[in-house]
Amino acid sequence: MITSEDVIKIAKLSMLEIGEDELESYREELDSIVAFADTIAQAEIPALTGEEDFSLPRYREDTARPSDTQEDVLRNASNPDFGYFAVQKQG
Amino acid sequence: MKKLSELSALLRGREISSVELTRAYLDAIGEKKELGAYLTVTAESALEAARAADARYAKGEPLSAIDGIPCVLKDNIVTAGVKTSCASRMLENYVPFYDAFVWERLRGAGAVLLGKGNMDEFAMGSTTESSAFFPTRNPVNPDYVPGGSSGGVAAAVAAGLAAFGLGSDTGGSIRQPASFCGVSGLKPSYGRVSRYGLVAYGSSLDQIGPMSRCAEDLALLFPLLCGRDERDMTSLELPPRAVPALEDLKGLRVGVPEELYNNCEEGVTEAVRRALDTLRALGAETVEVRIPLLDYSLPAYYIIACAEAASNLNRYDGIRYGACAEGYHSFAQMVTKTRSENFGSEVKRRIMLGNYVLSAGYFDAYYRKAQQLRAALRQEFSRVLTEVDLLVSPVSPVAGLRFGAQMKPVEVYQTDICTVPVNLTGLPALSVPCGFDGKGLPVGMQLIGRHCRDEELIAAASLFERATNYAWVRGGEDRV
Repeated sequence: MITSEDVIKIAKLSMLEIGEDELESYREELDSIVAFADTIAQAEIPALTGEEDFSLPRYREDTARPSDTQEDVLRNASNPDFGYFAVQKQG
Repeated sequence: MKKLSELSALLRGREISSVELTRAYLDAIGEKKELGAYLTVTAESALEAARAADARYAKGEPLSAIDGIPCVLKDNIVTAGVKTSCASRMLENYVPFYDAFVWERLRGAGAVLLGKGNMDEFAMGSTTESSAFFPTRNPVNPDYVPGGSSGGVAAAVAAGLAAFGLGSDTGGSIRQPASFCGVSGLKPSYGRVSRYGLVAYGSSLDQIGPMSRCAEDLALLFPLLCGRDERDMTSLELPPRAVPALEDLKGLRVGVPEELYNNCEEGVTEAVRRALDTLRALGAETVEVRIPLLDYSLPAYYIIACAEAASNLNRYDGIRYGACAEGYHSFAQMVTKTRSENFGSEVKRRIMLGNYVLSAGYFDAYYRKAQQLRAALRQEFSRVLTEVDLLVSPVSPVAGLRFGAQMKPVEVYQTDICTVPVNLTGLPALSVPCGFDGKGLPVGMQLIGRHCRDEELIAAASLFERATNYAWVRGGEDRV
């Protein structure tokens, strides 16, 4: 059972703010989704044989190469300043 | 509407120019604006690309079989200089400075970009109603949704607003809209098509694939998209193989997993059963198979997809790109305000569910168990696919969903039952039209193949299509 306190806690973890007026609808929806997810608890998982034929990811050679330019990287920044991503001063 | 091979022949024979073709599609897009298929139309650059293609044809030097052919890309595939919004307020003004691998490939082959297709916000949905801007209607019947999340691309291809398109498929987002709109769509084997430049949702599940008027077109498009790309570490070193031209299906063993037929509407089951009759008439042998763990694939999928989404969407902090809120007093408040104001409710729900299943105290019961189920499901599919060559099922338990039906999230999730197992297992699967339900809505048949045997699926679907012709029975006007 998902409570309103749970929703507030998960929202905080998610860097989201849920308004008072939306709290109950999110609680109800998340509660039904979690109840649906709970069905996997009943699943009996057969032993794995370890014979899967899926290839593992491959790493590239760690060699220097041209990177994106500073101008390009800052192109979509909300507040570029002196070639940096500027954010509000902390503290 | 014509097959890509026919358009290619017309262009080669100079019977039509790429500019004429592009103008015809742009006119059609303007006339059918009410479908809401496109988020961005790039008319000017499309005509410029078409003129360049015509110049190549004039010199007898086309770049490929799709040189000068106009297409649409789902709006989560990044395109340099062209807005890529993911149908989200968060990326409403985002203009990438680089191209996705797949667009590098298509652009290099001379394809003309008509614009970017509408979608569910961040590809999270099955109806294209959760686009932050406007929903898309199904061109077959506007009272129904086009499916999702690649609904804009499916609707555009079905309505003759593009010759073909690319979508992305995390849990069925290519196959289900293809089924609902009566077109063909391929979710390639995981790793065959680079995800470089695809805005991430569930990285271990996401795959880009082609959507087209007919399965035969997939044979032409797929080789252009696959191959190793070192910018995606999951990309496989596996060059495309030729798609065999089949005369019959003699010797092919087709598995019928009953679990994927349960809970389907009668009209859907009947259409797919008739398709199985056709496969048998073509020489295939059908065998009933059991994959009991399929019953748990849907919750396992939503746990894993949401966990990955929660992690992937952490990048939207208002600093490097995307929207940024105003009127905040601290860094944390800026990030929280930005995310709260610019993500839609389905995206918020999935991020919160993802963080819930990953959080201390719940991780083992949900995330770890779901990953164990995923590994076991892969094993079950591998076992079954040693006994049969491919599996056949409906793409969706329903032929369509009514526009504006206001379904609860879990009710919508349950319509993904037939498609999500394929993403969990990394196998290739495609949707090909196989008939209609009682309401005249198209029904898609899903073919699921062995890992990296995408070409065999396309071959079987193309033969089925030649034998039945459902791809050409309905759809938009014959404009091109």
